[in-house]
Amino acid sequence: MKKDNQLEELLRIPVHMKLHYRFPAGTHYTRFFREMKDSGKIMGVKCTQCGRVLVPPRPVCGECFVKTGDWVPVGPKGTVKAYTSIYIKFIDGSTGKPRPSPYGSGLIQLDGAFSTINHILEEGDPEKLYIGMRVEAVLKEKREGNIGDILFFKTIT
Amino acid sequence: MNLRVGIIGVSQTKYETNKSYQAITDTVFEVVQEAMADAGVSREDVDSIVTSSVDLWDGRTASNQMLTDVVGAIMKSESRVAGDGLGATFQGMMTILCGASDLTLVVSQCRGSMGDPYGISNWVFDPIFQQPLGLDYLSAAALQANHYMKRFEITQEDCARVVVKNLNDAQNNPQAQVAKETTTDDVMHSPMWAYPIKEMDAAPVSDGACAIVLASQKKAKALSKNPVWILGAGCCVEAHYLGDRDLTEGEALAKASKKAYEMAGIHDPVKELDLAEVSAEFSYQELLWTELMGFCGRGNGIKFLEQGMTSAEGALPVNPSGGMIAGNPVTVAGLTRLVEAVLQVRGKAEARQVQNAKMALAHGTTGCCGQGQYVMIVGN
Repeated sequence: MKKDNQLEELLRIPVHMKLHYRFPAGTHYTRFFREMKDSGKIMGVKCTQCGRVLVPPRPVCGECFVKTGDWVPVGPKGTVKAYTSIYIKFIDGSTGKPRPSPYGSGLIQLDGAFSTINHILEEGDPEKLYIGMRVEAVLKEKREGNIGDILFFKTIT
Repeated sequence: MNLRVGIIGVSQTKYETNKSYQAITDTVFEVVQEAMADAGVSREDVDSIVTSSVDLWDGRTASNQMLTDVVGAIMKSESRVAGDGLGATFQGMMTILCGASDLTLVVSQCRGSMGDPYGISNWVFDPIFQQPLGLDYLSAAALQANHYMKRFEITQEDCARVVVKNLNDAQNNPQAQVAKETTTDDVMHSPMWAYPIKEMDAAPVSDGACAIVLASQKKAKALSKNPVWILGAGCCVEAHYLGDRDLTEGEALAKASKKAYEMAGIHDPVKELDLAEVSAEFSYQELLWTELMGFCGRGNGIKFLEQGMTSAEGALPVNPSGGMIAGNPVTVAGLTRLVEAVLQVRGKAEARQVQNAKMALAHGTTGCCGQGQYVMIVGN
């Protein structure tokens, strides 16, 4: 009780941090987003040594410590490798508003890719979600060249 | 316990206003590969990695995570120093001295072009008493500059001479971002930013990266014909709060350099050191730091410079590379100084080579107005 009173008496000073950045996307992220925007293709990049197809594409394969090589299209179909259902109101970074919940969130291995990507799943019911579930990327019609160009992954059979 | 630590590989990028033609990972992979090639080692030989970067500059938290792949850290030990690259070198040196690692890679990177430098440095300060008043590295340094200059009767023209020396010498450094024939008039006529600091008194903000390979004594001797040894090292930190410090003093730097000299067996730095690479973000700091490192008496930094002692052909050349005035990859700068010092004692500093350089000092600083200070002595 005494503690609560003390808390009310002591100041808690609001601090707002507002900083803006321009993240240098480099050749790989730039091509990934351009291809998705212009042709609706999701691209990965193949390691010249281990042959794994990495998504998102990147200049270096961390396992082999060598520069990556050829570009290959992956997906748009893929397999759910891990999933959860989100029940708390989470602010959607792209709209600034809470996303309707529950919604599915998963790690999806696009067909042809080694690595998985994080994205939203159309199916939000944990009873209906399962590992190994087949899904397909649904892209925005008017794409802007960012990760939001994939709206979500819909369930396919 | 290992006796000495050798530096067997070094690499640095060119310092530029904007490296957005490359991803950060591209830049870092390049310097890491170059430093490993310079050392004649491969990723398999490296036991541990120490990186240096600062979240607020990188625009994300724990920002070393984006470097894991390109510093070859997967399935190895990696730790990160959120501060100057020379500070990371201290941590790298300790991993070897304590016997935990025989070969340690130290990597530092910064992209000054990503954000707003003054907005970012504003967040270095106390969010209750200082940050809301708009204090940043420039305005804090201006307080220090003015106090120092008033105390020792140093003029703005005196400080301009530091800029002239550095920008002229930087013409010998192919990695420099700013390098040109400069006069004190040019500096005096540049726009006033925060009295008495003018545009040309301040280092630019740069993009760049450095990597070095550290090795235990045994490994360095086995791998390298002419390793450069860390002969002395000292670090010391002052109070963070500006209001608790006399900004014209700098006991941290005096202590850090004294410790480094003692370890290296140096009694008279001017006679025994062949050059010094000093992290001075503003012109006045080069004068102040040289005094605090005992190159000359207090208040005599400008006399020391005017006598030509710190010029490229002087008794103790200071910043033959042009120093930070010629290029300032903010949190990398101390590691840049070390790379320059190593190149000098190897005799591989090309047009900026100091004749017969055998022992060199590298200085790094972190925090504002020289709060944290690092001094390292390297030699053959």
